[in-house]
Amino acid sequence: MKPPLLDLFEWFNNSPLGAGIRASTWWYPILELVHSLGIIVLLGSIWMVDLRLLGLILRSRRVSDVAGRLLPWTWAGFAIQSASGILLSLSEAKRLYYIPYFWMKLALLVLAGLNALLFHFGVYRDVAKWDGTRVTPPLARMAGAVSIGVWILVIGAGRAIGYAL
Amino acid sequence: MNPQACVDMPPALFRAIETSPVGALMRGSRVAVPIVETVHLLAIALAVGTIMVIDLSVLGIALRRETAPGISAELAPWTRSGFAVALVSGTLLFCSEAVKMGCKPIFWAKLGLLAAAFAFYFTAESKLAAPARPLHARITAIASLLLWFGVAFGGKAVGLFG
Repeated sequence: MKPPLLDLFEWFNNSPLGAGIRASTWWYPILELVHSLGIIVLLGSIWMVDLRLLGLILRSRRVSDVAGRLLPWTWAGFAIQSASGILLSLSEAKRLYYIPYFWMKLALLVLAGLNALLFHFGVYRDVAKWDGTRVTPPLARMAGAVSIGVWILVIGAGRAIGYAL
Repeated sequence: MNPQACVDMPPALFRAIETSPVGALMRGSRVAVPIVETVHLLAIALAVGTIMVIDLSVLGIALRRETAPGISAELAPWTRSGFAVALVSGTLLFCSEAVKMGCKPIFWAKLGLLAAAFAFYFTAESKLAAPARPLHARITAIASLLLWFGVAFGGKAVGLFG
């Protein structure tokens, strides 16, 4: 019996998009370039929010103001990274299937998402109570620290995939 | 010098850097280059990310525009720490394959753009803290974004081409 999901990854690999990107000279490098610039947009914006939650920067500004104004850029960066990342993955799905760091990166992305969800539907619901405080509640600080750490690991996993470690 | 001739007969300096203890150390371990490259990317995300947030705020599409000068001063230590780490990690990466890198015209193009971006940051960009004319500040912000994303683009292109 075939290992789980291998059929799916072979299908990705042979899909018109996956095969097309592989066959083209320019698509892969263009997608890589987009993927490397998009991460600056994503991390540059989300880290500022995280550092505000940790009380390390922008302490005199309300958390909801910082988050409300910067997280749209995080989402824009995330959209760029998802689109370019999915296309890059399709083009070499068969290789990625066997790379543990690829699965680790996906798991870390899920973790980043869960952390963000827990934050937004947890401690952030009461943001009005601590919006102006320099030191945010422990759960908010924890969400900020986890976010910074998980994104560092995402980058590390990405490099490990690139270098086929 | 044409790039292929350069690789065939590398300038003594590039060879000396590559065979130096630092170069040898970087090449000696399978994980050294990926780890240092990860640090390089994270430092760039911090430095260019903070600059991006300031520039977008000046343009009125991130944090409140009127707070941009204050934010610029507040984020400067983070930007500069990112610069420092990116420079050290970038130098280590260069040492690991100085001949291959040094012989790529695109690598020197990236460094040239980096020098221009640094010059711009320490002159025009730092004056954003002064109450500049709005149009002047906007043009400065757009130029800064183009320069820094250009440097990042160049950095990735060095790995992909040449």
